[in-house]
Amino acid sequence: MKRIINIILIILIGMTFISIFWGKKKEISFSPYKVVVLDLTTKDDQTERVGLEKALRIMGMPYDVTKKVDEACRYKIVYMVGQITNNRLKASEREALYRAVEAGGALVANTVKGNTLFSLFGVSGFKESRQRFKATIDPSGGESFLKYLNRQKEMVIPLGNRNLYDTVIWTTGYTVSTAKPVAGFDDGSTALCYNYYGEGITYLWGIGYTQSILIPLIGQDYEAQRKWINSFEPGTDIILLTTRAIYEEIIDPAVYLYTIPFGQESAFIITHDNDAQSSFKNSLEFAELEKRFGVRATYFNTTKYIPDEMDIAYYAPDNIAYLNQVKELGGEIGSHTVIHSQNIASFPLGNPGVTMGSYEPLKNPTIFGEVKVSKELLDKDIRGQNTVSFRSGHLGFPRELIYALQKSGYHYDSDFSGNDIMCNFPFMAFSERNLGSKESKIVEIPVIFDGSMDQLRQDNLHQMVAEWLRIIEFNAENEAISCILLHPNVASFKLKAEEMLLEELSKRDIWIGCISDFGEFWANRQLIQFELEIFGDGLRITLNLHEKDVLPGIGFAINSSNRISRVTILDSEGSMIPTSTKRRKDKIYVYKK
Amino acid sequence: MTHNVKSPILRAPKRDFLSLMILKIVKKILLFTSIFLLLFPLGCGKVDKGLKDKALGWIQSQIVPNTIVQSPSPDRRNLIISYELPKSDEAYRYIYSRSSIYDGAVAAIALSMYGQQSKAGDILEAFARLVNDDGGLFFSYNTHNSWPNQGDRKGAIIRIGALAWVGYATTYYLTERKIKDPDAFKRSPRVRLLTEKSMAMASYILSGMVNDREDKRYGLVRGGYGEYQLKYDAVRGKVVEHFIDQTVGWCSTEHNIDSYFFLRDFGRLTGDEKLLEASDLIKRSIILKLWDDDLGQFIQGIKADGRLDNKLALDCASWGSIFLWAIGEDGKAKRSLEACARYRNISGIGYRPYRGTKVYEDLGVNAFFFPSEPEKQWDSINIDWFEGTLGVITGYVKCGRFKEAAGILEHINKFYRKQKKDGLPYSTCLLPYQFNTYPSVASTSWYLIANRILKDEAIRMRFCSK
Repeated sequence: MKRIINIILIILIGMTFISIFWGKKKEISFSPYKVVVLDLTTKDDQTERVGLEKALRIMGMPYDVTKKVDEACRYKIVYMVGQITNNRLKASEREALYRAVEAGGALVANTVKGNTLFSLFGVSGFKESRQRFKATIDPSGGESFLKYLNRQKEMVIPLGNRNLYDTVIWTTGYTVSTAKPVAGFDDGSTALCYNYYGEGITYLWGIGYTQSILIPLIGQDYEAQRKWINSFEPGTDIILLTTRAIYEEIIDPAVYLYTIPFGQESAFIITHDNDAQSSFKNSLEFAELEKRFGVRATYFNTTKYIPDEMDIAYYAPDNIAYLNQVKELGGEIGSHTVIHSQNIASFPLGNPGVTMGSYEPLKNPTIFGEVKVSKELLDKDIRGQNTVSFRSGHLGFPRELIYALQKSGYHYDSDFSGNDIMCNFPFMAFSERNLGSKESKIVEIPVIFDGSMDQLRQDNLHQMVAEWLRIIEFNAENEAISCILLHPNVASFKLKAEEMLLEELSKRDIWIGCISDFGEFWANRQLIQFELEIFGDGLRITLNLHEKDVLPGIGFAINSSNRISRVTILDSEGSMIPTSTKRRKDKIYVYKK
Repeated sequence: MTHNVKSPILRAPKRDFLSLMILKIVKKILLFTSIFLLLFPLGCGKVDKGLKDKALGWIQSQIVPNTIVQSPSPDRRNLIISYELPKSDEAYRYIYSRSSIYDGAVAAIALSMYGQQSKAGDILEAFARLVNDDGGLFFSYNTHNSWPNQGDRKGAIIRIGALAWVGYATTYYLTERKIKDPDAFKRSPRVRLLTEKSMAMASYILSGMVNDREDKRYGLVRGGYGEYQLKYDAVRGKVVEHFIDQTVGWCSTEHNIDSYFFLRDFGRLTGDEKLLEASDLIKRSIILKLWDDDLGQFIQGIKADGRLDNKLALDCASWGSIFLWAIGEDGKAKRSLEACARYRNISGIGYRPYRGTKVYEDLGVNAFFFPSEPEKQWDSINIDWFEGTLGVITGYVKCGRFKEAAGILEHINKFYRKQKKDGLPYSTCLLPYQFNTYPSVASTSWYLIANRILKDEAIRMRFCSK
């Protein structure tokens, strides 16, 4: 009898707890520190999710993805992607979104076309167009999600070059009702607005992630950039930074994978293209300078082993000897193709099995030939060499270049002008330069300074260096990087320019180095996923990788409004990773020692 | 085996026996607790836990989206449908989704009083989103579509009293939030929005104030915009509504009292001197121009041409007593409360809305509805108007006459218990265009308010305070 009573008792207690927790499940409870991507895309617009995820990964934000509205509504911030028409959401799903925001959540979206959500976003209408050429931001309201946008060029997002194109990217201009507009298109419609609803907030962009992130990052942005090189061009960064600033505005503490090694302010990446006879010897002077400052640079080398109408076969034993010395001085040796052709973008992909023996660079040049054979030569001729970094001649960027690089054993590429793609952050390149292409394992490091083509001269040396330093400063404010290309065909004033830069930058907490070192950091960063827990004033970050697989310098930025004073990082085994901490402005930077 | 199991207990020393007894008791407590906890969540919502829960649950069920309007017009989410209309009602297809702002306002106050701050805030924010550019709100809104709105307002009226109630309910909500969590109050976007829109509503009300010192309505606010007049159409043999599309010129006692409370309390909350001065002028004008010492209550108002509107209205007595108590006119408050007795429905349990006048002002209309008694007056109508009756109860409570209040409330409780529907009906008599018998948000909300202020002194003091 007693046993029966005990069993009944246990069952009752069990049922009691089940019923209690069952009841609790019905309430909206936020997953506190991550954001969620609510994927409402279909086959036709799935690049929207790809674009958003790209942005989140570059910015290092912790996120989950779901297609279920009720799941998404458990998070404090929902980034909703897809063409949001009235039919895209069921009435119950729409209501769930309304309730989530009303209860204090945040909802970020673009291309909202269904009027059933207008009230939530505080708009009353929209108009799509491909004839808007810029969006101008008005930060006068002091909105914290615009905090990164403090420079004149950060007030305008270029959408396409009016002089070259009649129609550019798709945009959606809104008419606001209760929302506050903070950016407007050139036709007067609203490009970005926010709206308070209940205790929560919504943000609405008139530019989709496909148009604002993916199209620039494959270099097809209708020549939207204001200048092609040597300028500060943050057009794409504005979207990236605002995406993260919204997270920082809503979540406390906001924690993200930091973009710079060792919690430093910014990164300055030095590259040299050896594509002239004189370059190889001059490289030694640059390498010695870099050694003096204790930094590394990447030397991209043209392995021109046969002469053509442009030049002699300067990839010759004496120059190879110089390269070996450069490497001994600490320089990284990278590939700069075989023949440094201006026409590489129109080369066929070619045979992936090509070797120096089979390649006919003058008769049948191919992408694989340029990529593989140059690596083959460098790996053979340079002691201890495994070539992993690549740059085309003239920054030529064939559609399938990244695919060929990955197939050929490269890890890093630096072919995009950061000004051209309006982005000052590295990113994982797409296999091909078209929408819908898969993300590759190649890290793309855009170059933004170039001293060639008379840009840097003896007579403008000080002016140009000052301008570069100014741009480095702007990028540092955004936790972005700056990559320079100096051709060693001339040493003198170019060497002086580099020396002046290093003298200035070495006084500051700025990471200075070569493509492969930074690329390795970035590639490692891409592998990291993390979970967050708060204990009083302590924050625990648990990684998905074992400590040995995490590079020194990998770290996190924490924006916590003084809530957090202790941070520990654990690896996938639960072991504590030794860290160092820096504090700057309103953030804590914690990184692996 | 049995022996082995029992023997230790049988042989146990006294101390062990006591321990076992305690264990048994603990087990029993656990058992009963478990049964209670098990049944509690399952039972919630199924077992009638009292009229107040029934009323609160029903009020919440009237908020859209709900079973009546599953996909409301998005800008009308969280408005509250005023009545639970049966589909058989002739007007169902026109007004089944209609939400009157006054009803929403009193519902928000009731919800606030019962700790449902969030729900109250939802309703009030829905109003805030609907506030017109000039600070006005229409008297009522469809919830299933977007009529009326600023672009399509044909047939829509504005009533200052209803608007003032929204302002007052918002002020009440804001004040409660400020008391409960001053830090969150400062940060909340909802608080910011409600404050901003309340200021717009206050400005709208004051734009209707009569400022000409020579005018008999000086210092009072006008009624609003648009009116419906009932006429008998002899050709069609039916009663029709005529919409008069113009600004209202009359000033009513009720609207001015509503406005007084809103402007005064919102002025106190925000420290806005202009609002405090305006409310003071309204107060003085009400006393000076609308008090009838012979009747011992306020008259209904002043017409546009300056003539007095002497119609005897329960509101003017009951609501008037609350106002008089709040401004320290205790003697007049007492007389006003006593004047309510003239509206008592002797054959029922509550109070009539009017006395001494025809049920329908227009004789043709009156004759249409009462063909055997064309001059039919309110005095002979057997109607218990619950919203009005609960206003009387509130008057008694505010004036400290709790016993009388509890007595009337008990009659309503008995009636309410017998109702099949969860909402308290608007009245006990169907008078087309005026009174119905359907579960009503106004009645049910006032039922909750009256109960709450009767039981809770702190809330009693904060609601329509001195």
